[in-house]
Amino acid sequence: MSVCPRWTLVLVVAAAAGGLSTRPMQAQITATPSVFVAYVNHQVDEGFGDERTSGPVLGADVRVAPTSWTEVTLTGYAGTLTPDSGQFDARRMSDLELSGSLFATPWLAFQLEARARSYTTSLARQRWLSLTVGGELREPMFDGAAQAVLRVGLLPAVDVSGLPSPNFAGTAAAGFQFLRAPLTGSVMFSFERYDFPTTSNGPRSEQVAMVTAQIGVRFPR
Amino acid sequence: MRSWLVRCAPRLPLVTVLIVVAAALTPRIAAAQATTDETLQRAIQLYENLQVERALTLLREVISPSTPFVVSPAQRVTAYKYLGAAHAILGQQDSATVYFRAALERDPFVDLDAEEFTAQERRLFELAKQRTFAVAVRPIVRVRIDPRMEHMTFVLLSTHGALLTADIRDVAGNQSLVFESENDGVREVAWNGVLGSGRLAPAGRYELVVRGVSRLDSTRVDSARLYFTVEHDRPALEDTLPPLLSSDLLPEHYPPSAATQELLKGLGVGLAALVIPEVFGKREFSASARGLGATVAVGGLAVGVFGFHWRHEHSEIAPNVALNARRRADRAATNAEIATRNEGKISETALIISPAAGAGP
Repeated sequence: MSVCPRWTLVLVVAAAAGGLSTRPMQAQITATPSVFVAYVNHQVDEGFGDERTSGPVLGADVRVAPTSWTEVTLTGYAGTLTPDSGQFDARRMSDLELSGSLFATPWLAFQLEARARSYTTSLARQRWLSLTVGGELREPMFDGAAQAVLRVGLLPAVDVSGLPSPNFAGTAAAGFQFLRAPLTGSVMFSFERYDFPTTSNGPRSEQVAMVTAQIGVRFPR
Repeated sequence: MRSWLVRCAPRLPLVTVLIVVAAALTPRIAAAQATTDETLQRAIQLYENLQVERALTLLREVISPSTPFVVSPAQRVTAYKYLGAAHAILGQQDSATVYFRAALERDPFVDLDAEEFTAQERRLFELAKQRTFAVAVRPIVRVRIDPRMEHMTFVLLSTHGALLTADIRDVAGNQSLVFESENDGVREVAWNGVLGSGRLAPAGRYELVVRGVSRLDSTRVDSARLYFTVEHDRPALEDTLPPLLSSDLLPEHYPPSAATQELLKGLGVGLAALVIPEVFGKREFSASARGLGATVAVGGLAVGVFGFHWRHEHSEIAPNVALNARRRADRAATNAEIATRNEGKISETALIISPAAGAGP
């Protein structure tokens, strides 16, 4: 008698959910829609030098906290990155992320994030799919009116159209989050690095640096 | 038999000997007092039968220093009183007065009953009282009073007209005047347990001091003392809650290091924003990413410095302050309730006043 792997997975997830649900509900569900503006610096080195584009992007996200120890965030942003020199085409960057956080303590969270990103030029579109596993440190400041945030993650699964998966992909971020109910805000610096396998053209590296300023409203107020 | 006693006598325990001696003497003392009492009774009977000379003989035996019998102070006072009366009947006024004064000096409360003694005797007794100045206070018996509606009575006396004062003193020497007036003879002074301060006398030992200044001769003064104890009889009082200790309260201020921690958090974020491109970034790319990180680094420095000053200005831990205030208020409210209940019990306090050991002058 064999057990179907799919049903096994369902049972495991259900058991995990059941275990987690026994933890006391300490707060009501909160939802925080917000908008942000970011300045993105995207750099690519395919063996021909630094191909750098940059520009502002606009985005929005919704963060839902079903309990005091979990958060789910859906984020989307898009913008056009222009090259620093005339050798390259401008490209449109679009990104959609779904992340979940589980707080082991009030100041330490483990994160899992799925991301779909695309870079579109006049010639082609490059699609990125990735999964990030990481942790986040939140240290309260100003009696809880702000938090110092440090975030580190690895991307164990990255799929890029037309390219092999990178040998190394990592992300890090640092910044502040503010809360003056019902308003929330943040200023973050985030950084991504991808090292691809060496091809006939040589090693390929990509790097994304971003500074984000965000403001939102938390519900219920 | 005799030889047996000779053999065993040295072995008799000393205790046995003492018991035998005590048993032999005790009836003798009782008999001696009984003899004095019998002598007094016979003398009084002779006096009442107007056999005064025979009565005088017996009474002189009682007061004689050579009497072989034990004479109590009360028996001695009675003897002096009847000696005075007997001499009064014989018309020997001076002797009568001397004996009456002797009786008065030993017991100022001594008196002649009008139904038992003649007017002549009483006149001489009054004369003796004029010549003798003494004040006294009668011993009290244990009494329980409700100060709200009852009182106890001290019985004071001056042998003749006098300015009499009586005050109650506690062990600390605080005085409360309970009587001050002209007096002649016996005076009852009521006391409801309240001291001069207007408060109920606390439990403890007290002294009633009676002083008199003769109105016949202002150089003649006398005093008497009565010792007594006061106990409070009431339901047990509840203890109020003790003061809150520092261990019962939450800290209300951040330690001085908290400001530094705020600064370090801000600087830490700023430093991380600077370091991330250097550590994680590709060396050839680092210049442009460093610029973005520097933006946040400057912000981190500003937040850190601001946090440092802000924490100096806001060192109170507001939730703890509120919680401590609530604990203090709860304690104060509980103590107020206890105090109210205790006041109710105190208002029902009864005083038990008992004689205490001590001797007056």
